[in-house]
Amino acid sequence: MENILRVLRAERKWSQADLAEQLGVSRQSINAIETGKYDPSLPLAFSLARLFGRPIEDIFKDPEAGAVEAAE
Amino acid sequence: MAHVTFKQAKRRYQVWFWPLMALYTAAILGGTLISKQFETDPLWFLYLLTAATVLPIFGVLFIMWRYIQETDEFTRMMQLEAMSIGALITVGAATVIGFMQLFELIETFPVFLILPFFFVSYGVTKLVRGKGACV
Repeated sequence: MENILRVLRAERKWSQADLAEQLGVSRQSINAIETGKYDPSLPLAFSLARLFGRPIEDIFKDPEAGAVEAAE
Repeated sequence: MAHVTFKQAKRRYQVWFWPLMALYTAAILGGTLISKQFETDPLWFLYLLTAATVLPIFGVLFIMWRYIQETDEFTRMMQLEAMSIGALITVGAATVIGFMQLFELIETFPVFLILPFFFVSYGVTKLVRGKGACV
């Protein structure tokens, strides 16, 4: 799943380690989410949304959503 | 279970891991030294040596289980994946060895080596997967 985590983090000048520390997860977790290798659980996605003050759907993009809308 | 961060979970694992490994090493080395004092090892000593060797290992298995419970979701997934692959490799190897024994291709195999074999397969899997979600 695509996301804008790297952009949001860069805006705040946070390193992956900074973000990981605030969420209580490993730096490797943040890296895996940013590179799209791992999709976070709903609780972790909500924590990210809360931390950045944005709705989940602003942070994570459903790659199939565009195709569904186009079909409709 | 109280919420524990990744760092706390990792610290809780490491705080116990090294003392348990030190106990295990002391049991092996101490047991070998003490064994030389006896002409024939008494049964009580062999039971004691078995317990002293195995209990730290059980301790390590327990803290591994606790770490998996407490760590973050990505690390948990990576750990469980590496453990599953390590366990499959170990079970496969044990089956091959078992049949080799059955068909008398080999004499005996020291069963206690299965655990180190599992740890090696699990560790190598983690390295090969290269996700860095290590303890």
